[in-house]
Amino acid sequence: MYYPEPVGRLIGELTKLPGIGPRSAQRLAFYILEQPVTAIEQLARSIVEARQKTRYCSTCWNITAADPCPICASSYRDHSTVCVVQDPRDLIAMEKTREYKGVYHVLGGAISPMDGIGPDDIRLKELLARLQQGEIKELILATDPNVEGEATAMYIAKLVKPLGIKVTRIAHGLPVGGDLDYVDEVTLIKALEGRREM
Amino acid sequence: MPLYRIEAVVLSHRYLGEADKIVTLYSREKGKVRAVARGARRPRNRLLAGTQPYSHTDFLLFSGNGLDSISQCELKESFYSLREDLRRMAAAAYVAELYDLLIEEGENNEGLFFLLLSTLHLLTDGEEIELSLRYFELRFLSLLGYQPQLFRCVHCGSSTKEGPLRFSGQLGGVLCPDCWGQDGRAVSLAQGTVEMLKRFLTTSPRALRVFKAGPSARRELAAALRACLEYRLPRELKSRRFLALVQGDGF
Repeated sequence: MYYPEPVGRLIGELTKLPGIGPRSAQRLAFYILEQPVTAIEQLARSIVEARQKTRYCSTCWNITAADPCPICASSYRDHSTVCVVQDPRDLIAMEKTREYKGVYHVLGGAISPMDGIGPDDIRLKELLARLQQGEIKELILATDPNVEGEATAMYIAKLVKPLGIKVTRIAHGLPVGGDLDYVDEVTLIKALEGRREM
Repeated sequence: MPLYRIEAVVLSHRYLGEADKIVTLYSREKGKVRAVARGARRPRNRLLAGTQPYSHTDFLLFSGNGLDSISQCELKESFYSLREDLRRMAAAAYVAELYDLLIEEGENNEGLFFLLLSTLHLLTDGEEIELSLRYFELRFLSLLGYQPQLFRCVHCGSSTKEGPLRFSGQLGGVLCPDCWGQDGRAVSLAQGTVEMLKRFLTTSPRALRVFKAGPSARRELAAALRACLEYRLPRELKSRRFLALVQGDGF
């Protein structure tokens, strides 16, 4: 009511974004109004294009502009090792390490009994279909180290082990640069279990 | 009272924003409490370990406008093995969901807190997940004030020491043969099963390991207590589907 109609509508749309309340939406809207039209056209075009030109990779279910995605299409990657992650942001975190040379499978969530999210609600059927093609020798379970992630990892391990494929879980332990006396007992136990000879 | 201390078990967590989460706690001092754990999803955060579901933790909370915030916490018992076994984890999720669903915030009941702790211990170390859950369900209903009538017919009050019996979740107890018509959905219950339920009411959790139950008694116990709980529930339990799935073959 206090704003001209197009500005009010813009604020309304911005408020729908995650973490944006009415005040932040107002601030963003006024910033947009102060920018040159070309810059804002570019922003609007980027939003529309990002949404229109991306889809899920039909092999690994990562977000991609081309299907299959560059990782699945690459002949330099090891296609016999698959790293299972919960969502595309986890995949990006793994890629930033530049250490992992295998391919991925994005589940799109984790099993959460209390939220009613079961094995049928994440992309497990797609993973099993990939495994049955016979090319995959190792599955690395890189789901989050919390209750939901552990449940998902355990469930996948139970399903996949009978197929004769090696199933591994990423290590739990001390964060690099941390203080030992701040670490909880569970993490310390896991770190001790996973110790290695120097 | 801006700062207060509680001893609590984490029932569930829900992500909030970039790195925060809202945890639902069941505390000894104040019953169910919801609080914000700021930064608790970052790997080096001090609140990380103590705010994982099913953890038994001492909390220092700060009450302000809206939800209370967790200022500090110290983990007492992580019940980590619940996270290493799917069946135990599914059972713990079921227990936590019942607490979350049937108990309102601000209702303090120390008995319910100790029942929660002893149930988590049973699910962590015990051999018998199924009977532990049945024991928990009956004690939970009793502490909430819904203890089923097991000693005489819930409708006419006559003795139920002999003969076949049925159990009505809606009426909340056993029915003698004359009163079976009172609830068409009442489930059959052998005398031995009723005796086991009566003993559950007076047995300590540690003594549960001496109980033995055959497949038919287990089925009856599950059906009777389920009927009783479902009559009180505002909606279906989401965790029940996963619990049934992992209790099947191969898990």
